[in-house]
Amino acid sequence: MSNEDRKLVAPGTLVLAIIFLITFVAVYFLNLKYLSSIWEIR
Amino acid sequence: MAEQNFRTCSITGLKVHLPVERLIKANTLTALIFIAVGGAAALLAALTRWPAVHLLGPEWFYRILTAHGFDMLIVWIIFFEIAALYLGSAVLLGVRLAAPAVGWIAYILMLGGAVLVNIMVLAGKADVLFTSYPPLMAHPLFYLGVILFAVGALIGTILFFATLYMARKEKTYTHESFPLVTFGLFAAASISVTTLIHGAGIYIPTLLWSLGIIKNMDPSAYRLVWWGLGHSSQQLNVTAMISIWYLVGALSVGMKPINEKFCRTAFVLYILFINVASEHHLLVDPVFGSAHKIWNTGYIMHLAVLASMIHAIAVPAGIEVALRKKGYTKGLFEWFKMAPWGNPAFSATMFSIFIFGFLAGITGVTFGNAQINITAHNTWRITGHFHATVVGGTTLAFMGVTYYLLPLIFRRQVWAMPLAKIQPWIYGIGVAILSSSMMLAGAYGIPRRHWDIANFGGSPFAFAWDPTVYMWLGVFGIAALMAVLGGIIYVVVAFGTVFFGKKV
Amino acid sequence: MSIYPPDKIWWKPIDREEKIWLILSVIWLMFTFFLMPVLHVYGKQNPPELSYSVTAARYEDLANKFIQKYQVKDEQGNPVALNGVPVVHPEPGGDAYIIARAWSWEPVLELEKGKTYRIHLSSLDFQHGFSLYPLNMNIVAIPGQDYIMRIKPTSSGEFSILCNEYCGIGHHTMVGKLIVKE
Repeated sequence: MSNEDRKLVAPGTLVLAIIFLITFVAVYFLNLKYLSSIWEIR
Repeated sequence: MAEQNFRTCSITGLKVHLPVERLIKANTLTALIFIAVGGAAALLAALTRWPAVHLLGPEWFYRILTAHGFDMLIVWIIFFEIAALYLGSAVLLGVRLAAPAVGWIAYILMLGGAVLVNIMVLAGKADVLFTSYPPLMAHPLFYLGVILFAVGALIGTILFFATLYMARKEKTYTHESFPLVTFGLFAAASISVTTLIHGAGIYIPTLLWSLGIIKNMDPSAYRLVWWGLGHSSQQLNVTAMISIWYLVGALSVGMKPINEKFCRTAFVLYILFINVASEHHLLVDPVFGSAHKIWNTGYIMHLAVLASMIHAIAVPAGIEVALRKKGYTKGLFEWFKMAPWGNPAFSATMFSIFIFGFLAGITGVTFGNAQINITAHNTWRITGHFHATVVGGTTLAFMGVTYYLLPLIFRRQVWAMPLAKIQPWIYGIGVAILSSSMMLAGAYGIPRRHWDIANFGGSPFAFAWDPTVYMWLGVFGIAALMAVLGGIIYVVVAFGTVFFGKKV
Repeated sequence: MSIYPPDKIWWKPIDREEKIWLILSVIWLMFTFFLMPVLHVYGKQNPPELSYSVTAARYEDLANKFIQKYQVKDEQGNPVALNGVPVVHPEPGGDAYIIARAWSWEPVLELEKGKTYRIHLSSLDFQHGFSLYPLNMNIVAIPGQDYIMRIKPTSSGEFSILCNEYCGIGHHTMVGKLIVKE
């Protein structure tokens, strides 16, 4: 256990939360890419 | 004060007011009846949208879909929430319910309203779907039924506030602040007041319009106010769900909030910011300007999302801390592996957290982006999203806490425990796949609320979909069967417990 | 536990973990928020923002005039229709009209790829959902509102319009067509 981990009360949860955030970012960018494939509209 | 009107729970040590116990039971049992009705409607609707089966004809499909929406999103969930409010106030604070007779008035209004709405829908007098968008018009008694239900719910909510006030005045709990669960339910109840005011604000004029007293009902104005009811009620469901997460966390693993300030601030953010954040339903509507739409779905909504992000880490972290205290400290995830997965309340809650986080929350914020919404509005992506939120999230959490309500309030041991143990797995996995398949089909453009995507009722302009769509629709059908099975087990185990469970 | 009242003093500083998460969340949410006004200015796809009040009668009148003026004619000079619906070729850069009504989309627009059009959208009766397949573009058609979509088709071919806002028993029969020529 590194120095940093000892200061965290719930390291497992932080890892899961970061995985969640990465998924969030990925889904968002995939959708932005999908958006760019439709016709121009304003 | 009638001290003999209380009993002390041998498991939690809490003082339970007997009249409130009766009200919690009534509201919970009624919720169960309506999830069964809504679930039957779900099965029929799903078997119709599954092209391989296409069970109902168009008339009954749209009708059953209307009933399904109302019975699930409003009746099942709100009856259960009222039970939760009575629990969170009277039971957690060890105080008597302010006025049980008023609670029964609320109950009768809600039940009467729900029955009236269902009768009108099933009689074919309200083929307008859950949103009842004008110029579509239903029979006046449909709108009256909704109003009665809303008034009943509002009365129950006011009773909750009165009980909190009494607990404070009579100092029935230690220290200055409510337990976190009570605070969360207080946030939910606060949101429900503005929700129900929006509801009255839209259903009363619409009732008058259906009676011919008001001549015109502007469709855009209706949409704006209705979604003030519609979305706020979802945030209310989220807040209640999260409160239940903390409750089950406490009862199953002895979870303490990692930081009360963190969690309570998040609940306050919900109250402040969700009430106005309904315009993500109107992003591709005319009438509303871009600045308005973006401000509402962006600044306002994102502050509520921040609250969700806070709970997203606080709840699992609290569970992890509690399990680490029990000795599961090896590596990063021993606590996760050794958690009480055989406890159906716990497993339901964990499924709820994961489904709500990964499937519901992410897609909600994404589809709520003003521009991305162009590719999502009214497609099945939206339907998939909200099945992840209210079904995979809120409903599953409520199912989980039922496994505690049964021994603690109904005072009966859970009947058919092996069935109870697998129920959250069947339902959770079923709903997760259901929601995902709907969103994947919807990404191709599959519309919501549509009876015949395969043939378009024989229209000469009928077109052929990308065949991948049919694969997702097949997955949807099977997942729907799984979810319905999970729902049936839940209702059967719950009623079985009430009638046959061993007394605690 | 969460079901019991907290300690008397619960306003305590948050741990390192909560701080990290809060910072990450705020950064991400700031990004997703600012993205919207940025896309509004620089993005190529935005929800249309021009709309005007209009009566159903007036809209139908404007749309019919448009159809009469721009309906495609074949070699004999006969007006072309597809399944009874007029095929109309609007002027590039100009206005085009789509009528949504229970339960049809009229007319069949024939557009040119790479050209921008002001396509008007309204309903003569109920709320309808304009959904263009297979692109998956979705806009709401409200009776009494003339919603102007400034659209530039960037792909050619035959496209379908379906309705995704429930509008009565014939809702699922409401399908139309849109053609884009090179």
